[in-house]
Amino acid sequence: MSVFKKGPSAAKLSFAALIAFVFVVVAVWGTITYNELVERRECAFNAQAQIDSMLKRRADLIPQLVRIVKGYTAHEEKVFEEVDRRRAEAAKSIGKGTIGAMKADSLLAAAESRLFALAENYPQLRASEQFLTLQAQVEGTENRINVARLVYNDAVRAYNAYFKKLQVQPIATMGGFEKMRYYKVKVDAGAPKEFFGEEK
Amino acid sequence: MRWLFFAFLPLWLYAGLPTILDETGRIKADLKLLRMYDDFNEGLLRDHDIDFRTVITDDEEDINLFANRMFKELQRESRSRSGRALLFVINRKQDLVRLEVSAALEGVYTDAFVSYIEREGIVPFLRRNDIAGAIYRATELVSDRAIDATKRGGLGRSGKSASYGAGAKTRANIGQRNATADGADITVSAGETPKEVIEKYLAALREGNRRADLQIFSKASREFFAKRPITKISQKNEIRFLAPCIDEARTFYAPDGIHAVIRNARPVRNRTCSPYFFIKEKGLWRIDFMTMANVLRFNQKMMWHFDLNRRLEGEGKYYAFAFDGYTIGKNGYIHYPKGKKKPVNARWGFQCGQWHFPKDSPGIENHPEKIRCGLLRVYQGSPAEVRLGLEPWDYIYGVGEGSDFIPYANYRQFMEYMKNVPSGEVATVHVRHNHGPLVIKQGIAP
Repeated sequence: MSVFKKGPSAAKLSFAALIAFVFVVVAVWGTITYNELVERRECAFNAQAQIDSMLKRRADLIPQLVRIVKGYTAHEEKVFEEVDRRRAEAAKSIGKGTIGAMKADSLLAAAESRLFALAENYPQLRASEQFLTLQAQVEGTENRINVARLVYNDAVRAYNAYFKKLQVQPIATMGGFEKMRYYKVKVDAGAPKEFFGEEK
Repeated sequence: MRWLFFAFLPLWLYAGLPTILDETGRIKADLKLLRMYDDFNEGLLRDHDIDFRTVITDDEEDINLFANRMFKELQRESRSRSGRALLFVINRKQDLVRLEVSAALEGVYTDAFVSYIEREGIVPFLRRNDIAGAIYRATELVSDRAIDATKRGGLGRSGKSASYGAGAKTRANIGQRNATADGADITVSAGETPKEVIEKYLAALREGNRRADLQIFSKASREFFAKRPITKISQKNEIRFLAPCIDEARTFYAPDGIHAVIRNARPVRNRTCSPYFFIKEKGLWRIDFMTMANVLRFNQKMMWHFDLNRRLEGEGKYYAFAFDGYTIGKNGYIHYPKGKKKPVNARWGFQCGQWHFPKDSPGIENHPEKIRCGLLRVYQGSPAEVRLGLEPWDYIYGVGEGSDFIPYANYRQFMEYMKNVPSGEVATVHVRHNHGPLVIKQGIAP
């Protein structure tokens, strides 16, 4: 007589194993998908941070530019006030996501274009070494923003394409992921508000 | 055209890309400049690990984006191990230039600095349609900056060879010459010494006087400068290297009375203090930049040396006297002589061996007039070496020129000639080195 209890049947065992296997596969797939989403989103966030950092630098250059332009111009207080207002508004928008960055970009571009347009009337100012140095820095920063924007849009494109995949959607929904917004620039300095209509 | 360029890019990358890519195919191949460009380019890579490349294009894409994209393409196979790379783009169609800077070099080549060298150092060449000159100048200025940065503590961190858009673009103004010359004329008066003239030159540099027709320049130099731009940056560099050298400078006058050289008293120690050549025209000392440009070269550390192929060419031979006592190395740098010194009573400082033509062999011992001179020894630093460029194993074939030319000069004729050339006059010797081609060497007799 056997001293051992009788175990579950082989059929029951294989069913449990199958369930366990499916569970493990789903868990692994879910983890991989989740991690991939996180990684792609972080890539885009990183590029976004680069843009913010460059916008901050651009905003910091404007007071220096104003100081130099003031030295050569007279009776242009209105322009300087307007530039200062736009710069302050832009500074507030930096760090508030893509929309904030686009708004800041547009406001800063408007402020700079006002200053450079003013400088056009003063040949001595345009020829001064200080002005040329700052102009190079401003243009350099703009170019960095452009390059960072391309990197950001590439990252967003990769993220969104992955996000839209059917098999990724459930994990994305459960994880609270959302489709990301492209960084688009319309250099229309006069009407930044019109541009920032909703983009879905 | 563009698709063709990008189609071949992987192949070029695999084969090792040249440092200048000319998509337009219109750059004039100035071999001298390209050789100098290569020297600087190799020096940048060897000494500073900077991969410097140039692209000339007519592409219609925005130059900023083009430069960034091209930078990425080219840096897939970066020659730099520390991510230090620069890309110089000249767009002829858009009339723009841009220097793209890798992230690892952003601290050294700031946007403001890049914009400055483009405006003041490169565009003046492009205004004269001198694209090869502009490319060479760009490399030189980049190299100067790298040397300065290294002296001040290094080029900074290493990183990935990527560009985040650093650099600057500038309007190139290709072919749009500036008609105006800045500054007043500077004259020389009778009795002024070469040192006084060089001090006037330094003052003109400090004032930013960019006139090519200053009276302190020799006639040939004025013509030379009329064809080349004098830039703000080149003037600043000139001040940087000339000003500290003035105090230790000594003037050496040639026996002919119309040539002089100002050089550092210790030229081997102070190689960044280059010599200045002077010629007396209409009784006044003037700087002979034309000959200096022909004869002198500078390495990327701004150490001067001779161009050995041109050192004694043209007016160059009139200035060699100032380097008596120094030997000239195979790269053109002067050194203190090693080995035996020139005997005190020897005029030129060489020793002859004997040779004769094979047809003269029978009974040669009875025909001393058929015995000729082959140089066994040329003392280092002797006039024979410094002024005439003679070397051991030079076989003497003839002496003199014009009506005084003696072909197949024998031993005695050669020695007589060398002994009797008046001091300050040109000695001419026809030699074959180690049975090579016949060469005419000329130098000023001591």
